[in-house]
Amino acid sequence: MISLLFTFVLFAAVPENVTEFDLDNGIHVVSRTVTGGEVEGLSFFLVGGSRVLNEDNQGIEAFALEAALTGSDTYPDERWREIMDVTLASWNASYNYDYSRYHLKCLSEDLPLLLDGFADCLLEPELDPVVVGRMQNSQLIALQSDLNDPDNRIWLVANKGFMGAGHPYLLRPDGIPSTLSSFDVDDAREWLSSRIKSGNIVITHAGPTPPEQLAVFLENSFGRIPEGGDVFPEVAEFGIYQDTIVAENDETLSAYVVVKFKAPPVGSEEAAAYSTAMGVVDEMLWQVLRTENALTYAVSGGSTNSYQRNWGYMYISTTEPVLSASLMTGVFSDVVHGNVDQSVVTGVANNNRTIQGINAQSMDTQCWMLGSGYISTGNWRTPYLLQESLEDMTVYEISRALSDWAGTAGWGIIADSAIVDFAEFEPWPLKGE
Amino acid sequence: MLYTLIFMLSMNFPVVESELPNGLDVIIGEDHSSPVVTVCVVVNTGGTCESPESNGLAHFYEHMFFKGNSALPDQTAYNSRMRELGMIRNGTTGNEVVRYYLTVSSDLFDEGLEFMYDAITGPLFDPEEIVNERSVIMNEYERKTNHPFWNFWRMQEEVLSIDKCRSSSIGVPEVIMAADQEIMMEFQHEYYTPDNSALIITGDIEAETIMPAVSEMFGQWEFGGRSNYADLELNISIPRDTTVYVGCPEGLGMVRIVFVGPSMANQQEWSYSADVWGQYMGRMTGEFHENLVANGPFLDVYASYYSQRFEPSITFGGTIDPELAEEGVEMMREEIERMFEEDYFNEPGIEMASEQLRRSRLFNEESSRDMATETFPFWWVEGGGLDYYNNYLENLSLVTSAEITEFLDRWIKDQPSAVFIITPEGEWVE
Repeated sequence: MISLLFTFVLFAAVPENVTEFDLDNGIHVVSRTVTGGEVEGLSFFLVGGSRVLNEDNQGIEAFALEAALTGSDTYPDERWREIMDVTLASWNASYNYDYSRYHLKCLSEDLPLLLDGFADCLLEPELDPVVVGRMQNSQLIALQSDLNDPDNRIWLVANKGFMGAGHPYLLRPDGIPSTLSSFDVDDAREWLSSRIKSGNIVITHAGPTPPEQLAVFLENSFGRIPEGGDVFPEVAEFGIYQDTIVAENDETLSAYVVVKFKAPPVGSEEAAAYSTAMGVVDEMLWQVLRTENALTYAVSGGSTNSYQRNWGYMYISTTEPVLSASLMTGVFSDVVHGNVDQSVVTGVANNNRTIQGINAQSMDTQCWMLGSGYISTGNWRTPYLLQESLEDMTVYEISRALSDWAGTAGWGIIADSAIVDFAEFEPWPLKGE
Repeated sequence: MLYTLIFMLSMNFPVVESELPNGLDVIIGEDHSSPVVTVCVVVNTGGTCESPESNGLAHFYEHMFFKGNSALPDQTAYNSRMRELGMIRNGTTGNEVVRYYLTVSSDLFDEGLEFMYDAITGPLFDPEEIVNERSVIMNEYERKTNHPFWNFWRMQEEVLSIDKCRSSSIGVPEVIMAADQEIMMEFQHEYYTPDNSALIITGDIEAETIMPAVSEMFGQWEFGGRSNYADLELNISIPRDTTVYVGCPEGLGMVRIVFVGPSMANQQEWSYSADVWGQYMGRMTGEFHENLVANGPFLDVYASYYSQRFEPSITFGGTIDPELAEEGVEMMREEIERMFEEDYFNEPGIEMASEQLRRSRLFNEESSRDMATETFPFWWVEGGGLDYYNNYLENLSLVTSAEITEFLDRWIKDQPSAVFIITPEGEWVE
């Protein structure tokens, strides 16, 4: 029996027309009805992420899901490709520390067929070794392409010092070449069989299909998924107890620097203040590093706020990494010590309001917000409430939040040792001490 | 009458197009799905307007758009005003188009419009800010050189372009480091005029309500009549069959076979059959995919027409194990030959391709901000106005298999091509 619980809206930023319900097997669904178009967005979240991986099977879930999506017993490879041709629907996959996500974009008229096909692929995958092998090679090339770009790789270099040995977030949800190339169809089948359980799944939707109809479509497709699910251990704190630096030599004209440091848990009292503080850091990094000193084209600061464990970060690409890192910590220290104009703090809230409006135009982003909020806190409203909390923030509140949370830091640098003197690298203290 | 209004067909929200007496095209789309409004100015310029002496200046100019202007004396004041307005903004420079756009809450539309007007019509090009920006742009250049496909991009310019400089909007270090106020003003004088630009506004506004203010403010922008954009020559040429082996990092492998395509400037009539053909070829159940991917060495393949005024191209490409790249080229060539067989194109497949293009447009129209910043600017420039976009679907539906054959006979059959084999073993550009 499907029961629909309608949500009453209390805050302006929290969207209207959101409905929550459970399928008979317990899969939780959050749907935002958006009328006026024909485009549907639907996200399938498989909760677990890095927590269900180990050193030897990093990337297995990414491999297994992509393999499953090549066809099923009822929708074999060619039939499935034909459906994708006719509908022009797209599936976008992403794999992160806490969950895997498949997002479907399609027209309303195609939604029931595509949901049925997708569920069938998960439950009765065809797993033709030739087709899966081709998909695996594509995955490997995409992964290698990412790793070849120092602009992507720098984030992983910073993780090494910041997260601490053995932390689950060091395991790559999208795999590493050595593990990804070792999987076969039997691994995929086994993984799908153990992970595709109702308790591991959350579905979010944004689009014109009304919740009553969506519930029927989902019951007919995902209602077949067996009950049960995994119990996830709590994600450990990042094991960083002193400032660290990891430097990698690469022949690049521009060096890349990332520093990471701890951030408060999602939904906590200080999350909004911390997020605003890092928004202020971002503004000031631009002002100091780019506008005043012309040291870079790309500089930014920010924080994650939807994982089990979160972090703040600063990033730059520059030919002068030592000077830049020193100025970055100067900016950070200024915010920690409250040396910031209130207008900058207000500006961050203003920008966030506009971003919220932009996000509302994208079904994909709406699905992500509903899902990440629900998975991280049990409440889909969390990301929207965070936006609400950014209003009226003061300099005192943001500097306190940053001071409370950001202590030791993990630095990562990629540079060419023929151009930059590595002996000058040191883990610059964040607060300028 | 100050302006004329033309109502356009759009699937998700109403759009009106008008032209001010100074020649500025104004395109307004009403979308009340969220309380924001996006303002975009698109200019007919870009790398294609450059010479070896000015290679990189269209892009440099784009950076100066975000500096001091007649209303805001320097970038610090500029940034401060952006924060007050909660403005999200960006700009991009391509080979054939430059765009500037901003998004604000719809209740700040007037302020956002004024901000755009001041930035587009009154840049100061402060010499000190120009000197600073040289270093910033050099860093952008250096970042690009780190990209795994930098080598391929450069080689493509080398092989396909008549004037290499017109294909590289990032430019060259010598020009970037020599940019000054005078050069910027010359660029502004020539291209940054209303008759060479369009103003696009989409979001939570009413066209009828805002049009008087838009007309009054942007009507002051002085007519130029100096742009040579429409007179520029084609910048792609493949005089003979050419094969180039391009280096790339370990683990990657790609193949591309490129032909010259019809120009959107004066051969637009070919573009409909070209687009339907590309979509037909891209079907995952089509022969092209079946023979090269499902039963061939490729991991994925595509065939497409790139709608451009000056560098239109037709490309067959795919990802492949580097060791199989040469074999892949041969198989792809065979598949290209097969396209000329009688039954290769059938009407149901063409109908599907045409329907896919209609759906693709629906997907693209999901976000009115994307329409203002991506779709409308692209088609306004490449189509020479929005009539092309407006009539696009109808023209696609008229394409027949005979027209596709005609397109292939004219643009591919017996035409020279450039083959790029991109593997770790290939040559590296210094």
